Amino acid sequence: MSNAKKAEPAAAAELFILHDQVHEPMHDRFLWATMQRRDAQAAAIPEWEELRELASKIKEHTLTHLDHYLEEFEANATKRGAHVHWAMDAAEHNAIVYSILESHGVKELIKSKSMLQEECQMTPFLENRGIKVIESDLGERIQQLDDQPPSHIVFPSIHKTRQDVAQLFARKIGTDPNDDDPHFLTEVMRNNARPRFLAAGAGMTGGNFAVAETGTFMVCTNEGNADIGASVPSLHIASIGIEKLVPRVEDMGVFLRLLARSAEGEPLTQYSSHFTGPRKGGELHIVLVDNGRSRRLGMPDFWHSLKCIRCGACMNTCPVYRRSGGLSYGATYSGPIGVILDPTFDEFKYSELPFHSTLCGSCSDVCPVKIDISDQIFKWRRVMAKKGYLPLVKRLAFAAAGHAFGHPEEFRLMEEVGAPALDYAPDFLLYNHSLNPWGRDRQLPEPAKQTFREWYLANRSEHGND
Amino acid sequence: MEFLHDILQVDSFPWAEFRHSVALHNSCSSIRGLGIAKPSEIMGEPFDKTASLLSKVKGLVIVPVDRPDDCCGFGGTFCVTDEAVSARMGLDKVHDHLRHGAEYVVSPDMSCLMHQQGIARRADLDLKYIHVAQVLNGGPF
Repeated sequence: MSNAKKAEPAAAAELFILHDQVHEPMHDRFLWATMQRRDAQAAAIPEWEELRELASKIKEHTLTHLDHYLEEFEANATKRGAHVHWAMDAAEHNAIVYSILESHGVKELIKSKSMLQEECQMTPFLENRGIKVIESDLGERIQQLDDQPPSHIVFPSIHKTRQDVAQLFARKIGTDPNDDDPHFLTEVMRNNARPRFLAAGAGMTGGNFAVAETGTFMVCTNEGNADIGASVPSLHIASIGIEKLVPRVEDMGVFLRLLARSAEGEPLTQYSSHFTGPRKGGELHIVLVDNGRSRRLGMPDFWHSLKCIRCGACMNTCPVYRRSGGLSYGATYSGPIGVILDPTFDEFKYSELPFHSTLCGSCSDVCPVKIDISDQIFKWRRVMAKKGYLPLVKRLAFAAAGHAFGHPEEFRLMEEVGAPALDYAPDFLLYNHSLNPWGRDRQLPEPAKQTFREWYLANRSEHGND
Repeated sequence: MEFLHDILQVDSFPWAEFRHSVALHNSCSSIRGLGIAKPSEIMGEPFDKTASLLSKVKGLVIVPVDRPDDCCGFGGTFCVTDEAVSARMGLDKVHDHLRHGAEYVVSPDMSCLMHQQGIARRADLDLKYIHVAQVLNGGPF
């Protein structure tokens, strides 16, 4: 059991909802609209469900032959002139990156969006060692200026309104706090970022896919920021999780058709760039990172989560995520995929996450690589219960519910005694906020005059009793 | 629903009449667990067994809603352990039904009905909640 403080998503989500009447409804509406675009894009492809199946199979095959494909990738990338490094965990990843930067005398670096670098907490590590790290993705830069982690794996600052961004830029860049025109704000950021690209001694990217047969990795963005970062400075470092492998270039024909459609309801990202070896006169380092992935691969119930291509569709479709905001999960990965990934890093710290779900199942159905997310959330609940991580209130509530539903006679007795008792119970007890969370925003149901069972016995039962 | 639709293949409910505008709420477990209707995320021919049974009831009009299969937020113990999110999901659901002129919300799931009804009553919104079986059976209401 870790000593870390437990993430409390329910309490944090409540703050997000109660904060004002603007943020949560906007967040919900934007992501719902994204889902609708995704549905329309998917519907326009007759073989959509076959593509999902194919993508799932390719990932399953690759993950079950991962050692082979990783070595093939390393050999081919090396042949093309890249330096390939292996990092067992976050600490090793950060140390490798730092040593490359240090040996090149880099004092400032420009990076594009990478959830893996986020997972490794790379930026604070480098900044503590005197290296200035600048995010170049607009959403990530907004989050960096606000000293917050990304709240969504594709739309990092989606929980913010444009007024929030105008206020933030006013504080950090000195612009007019009342000018929240998106074009103006984007232009401000563009002008602010350009000198940073020129000053940077190194560019860092992640990698969406790594192709074993060519040693190529792909970076998909809409802003082209990764491409400038990888092209202006002569040193390019890419951090890639070992689960990003695909065997062949032609597999990209499957994944690229799924990725942007699932992520944002667009046919493709604006830039889908292939990096094969360093550019002329440049130097390319690829850091392949495990950080718990091979351990996850050995977990029979959870290894399928490694198929994830980080599209965020499960977050957009999740009714709980849309109302909670990503920061409320208190973890690198939020939403349904976060609920099943985060506990593999720290079971105790993230033990509440699997309960922040209604198990509606939409995430499993939307997932372009067919990860059984909803089933895994349920299985994580069992793990948390078995390990004794549940707070007392949940333990008692689950035990009571289990007992009542498992003993029909007692359930019926409760109906008979409980229903009339409701008529006499005073409201201050029934609607006491801490005794009865049901009653905070809901009236209690009025008990039916006759239960269905009583009606059935009186009207339909052949024997008139059990 | 499956028994009536797939096994008995009931094609009329002569004893039932329901002259009201109805919002249909198939629960998540019946859609994505039991396959009673096509989930919006899955591509393919749409089908909805509950709607097809209800459409055979004289007078009944099913009103289209914006988010027919978005979870209403009951979620079992979730409704009390994650009360704020649960209630907000429920309120959004109730407003979706109301906005489209539903008088009744009909569902094959008692828990969704109990949750949504509690939300609607607290917000003093004029919606009535009944089980599909009540409609198909012609009551009791």
